[in-house]
Amino acid sequence: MKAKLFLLLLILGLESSFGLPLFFLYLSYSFIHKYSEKYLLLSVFVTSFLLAIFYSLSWPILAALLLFCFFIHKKIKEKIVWQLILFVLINAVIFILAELRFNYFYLFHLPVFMFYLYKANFKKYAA
Amino acid sequence: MLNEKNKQYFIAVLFVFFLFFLQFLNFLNLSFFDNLANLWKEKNFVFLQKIAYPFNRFAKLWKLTAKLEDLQYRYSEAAAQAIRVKELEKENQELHKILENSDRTYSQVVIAAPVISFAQSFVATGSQSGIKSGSAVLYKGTLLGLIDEVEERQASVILLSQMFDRSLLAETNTGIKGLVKGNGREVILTEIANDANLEVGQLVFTSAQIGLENGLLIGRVSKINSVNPALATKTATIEQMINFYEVNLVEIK
Repeated sequence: MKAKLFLLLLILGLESSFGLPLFFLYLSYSFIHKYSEKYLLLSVFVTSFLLAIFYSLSWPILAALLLFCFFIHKKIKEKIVWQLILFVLINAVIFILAELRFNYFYLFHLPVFMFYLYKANFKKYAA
Repeated sequence: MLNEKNKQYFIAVLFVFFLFFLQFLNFLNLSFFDNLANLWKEKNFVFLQKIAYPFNRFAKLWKLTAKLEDLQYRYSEAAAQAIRVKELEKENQELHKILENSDRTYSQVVIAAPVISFAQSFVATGSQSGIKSGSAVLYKGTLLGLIDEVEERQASVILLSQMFDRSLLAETNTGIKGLVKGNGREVILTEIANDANLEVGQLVFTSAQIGLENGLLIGRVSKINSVNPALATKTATIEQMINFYEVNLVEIK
């Protein structure tokens, strides 16, 4: 577990140097949602704290955003498309708030993430 | 009464309000963690620059011939100007001696490294080093942007191409005056008189204005946008010779 947490931190550190925290958000969600709900709530605050320090954003605003998304997520738990839309929205808000800019690392980052997402989630539907 | 789950949600919402309250009172100081994160990101930035270097070089390859010709032309232009500048410098020193007047102003120069990220424009120095909002960010005399928000050990830079709300007074090396702004992608020279003899290749410098030094190089006129005879002014696009994300060290004045 410690190794997984360290890996998440490493991924966040790397992703914050060139773009959006796609892998960090997705992997931390995958890692934590197996645990009980009280850890989920705690992870919302820890995740928002880490995003705030790595992207130089406001912790309360990110905490409010992720908490809001957490409540919405409870309503759309089985609906993958809506979960995807929610994920895109979170990243879009981070992109706007942090005033990120596009760079050529996205040419690699985005396709790799989409491929990983497909392998992890959608392949079983396609099979 | 609330059940256990709703109680937890309620506490979570309360905690968010508490965080907002702390931030409002300026008690929420995360500078220690920010500094740790920035140190880490600095190392990542250097590592990623090394990875990106071959791709950068490959992308620049196809413009290499045109760039070489352009450099040769600029070199000969600069060499001619250097001789004139040397003569003026000598004359200036002699005049200073005669007048016994030193009107040099002291301005603090701080060297910093551009931080951290290809995605955000930050520098790894802040209020601890005396950086103030509005300071010029330079690389070898070329203006890259202005300091926007200052934290303890980092400051955000508003690049010239992102200056939507503000503008800088500028003039070309031939004396044509205008305002420099950004449109998100390019640096634009605006409010140039329609009859001004602006040409592609002219250099653009900052003019004397409050808060900014005179004579800082901004870039070169790369394109004059189509002139509308109904308007009294025209605009031109400025090509910056240096990219903020490709330099290792910047000066802040």
